[in-house]
Amino acid sequence: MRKRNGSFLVVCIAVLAAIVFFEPSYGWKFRAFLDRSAASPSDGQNLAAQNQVLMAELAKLQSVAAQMPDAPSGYIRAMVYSRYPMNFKNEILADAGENVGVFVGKAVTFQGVLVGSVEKIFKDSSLIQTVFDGTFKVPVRVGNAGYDALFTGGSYPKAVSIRKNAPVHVGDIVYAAAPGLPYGLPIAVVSATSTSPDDLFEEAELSFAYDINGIQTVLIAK
Amino acid sequence: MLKLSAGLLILLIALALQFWFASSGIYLNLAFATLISFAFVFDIWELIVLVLIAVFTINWQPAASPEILILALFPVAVHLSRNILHWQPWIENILAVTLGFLVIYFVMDGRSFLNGPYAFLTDLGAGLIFGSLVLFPLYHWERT
Repeated sequence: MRKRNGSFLVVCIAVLAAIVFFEPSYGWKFRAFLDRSAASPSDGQNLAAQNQVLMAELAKLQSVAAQMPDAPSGYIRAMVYSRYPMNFKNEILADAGENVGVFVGKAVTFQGVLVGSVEKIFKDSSLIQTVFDGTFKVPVRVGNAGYDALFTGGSYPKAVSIRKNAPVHVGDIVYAAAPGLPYGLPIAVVSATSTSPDDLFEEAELSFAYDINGIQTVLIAK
Repeated sequence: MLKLSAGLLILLIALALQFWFASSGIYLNLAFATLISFAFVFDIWELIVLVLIAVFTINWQPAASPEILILALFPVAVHLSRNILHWQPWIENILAVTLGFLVIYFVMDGRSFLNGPYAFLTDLGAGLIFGSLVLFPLYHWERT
């Protein structure tokens, strides 16, 4: 009886190890089954995101109308497979990889709002570092006047290093201004402003139009 | 085999709770704490099966990562060294869970752990409670 149990366990281990190493997608499907709480984004979230897109568009046109590059045309639609399960990073895995031409560093959007960038690519999937990851940093501009700032990710992302006394207000749009990302891609809106601890710069707390845990599909820039 | 089934059920509950909390923005490593507690009540082969089920469910990318390696190897290390101290199992369990969480936090994100320990303390507290709740019934089951 004991020997039979031992054989059964060894077979279980071999099968599980094979699935873990060679077919991890079964694990993601099982996890999606366990994680039923990941709801699809509501209409309210979509409208709020679209509102941010329009605000960013307006800010771009007002501040750099003459120098505006053409909007990027090509995006790859991808489904979100799984999410990083711990609190050290904030990453999502999408079902588009080398096979459809995804490259590292490309922008990832949801409803036209920047949610992250491609960190690692696999044959048929790609790992996306979201703007809520503590190590995500990207140069941005704030408001219609386009004040320079640095977006720093984390559980509570901020726009930091804004010139002191810059008239940044609650509701101002924060949009990407980084090499490698489409210029003017909206990220968030300012929800509060404060002075940096060293009293040299202004900082802005940000609010987002979407719930990162509710995102089911994203667009990856080609 | 009945005990292994109970262990599997407990692990699935821990995983479901972990994902449910994560979707609300609260990150708790309940599965890791559960596996460490399992190290005191299951034999090595049963433990490896449960560890592989946890890895199968938690891994979020088609590649190995340091956090998954720690999640898999630490409970096995606890199992192999569980007879060193000869203390009460619940004390050993508390020590092992605390050590496991310290290891994973320091390896993954030592700087933010030092800057803001509240997330760690919340995670550790939840892990200790859940791990102790797992240990007591399974340990008594083994003794009877």
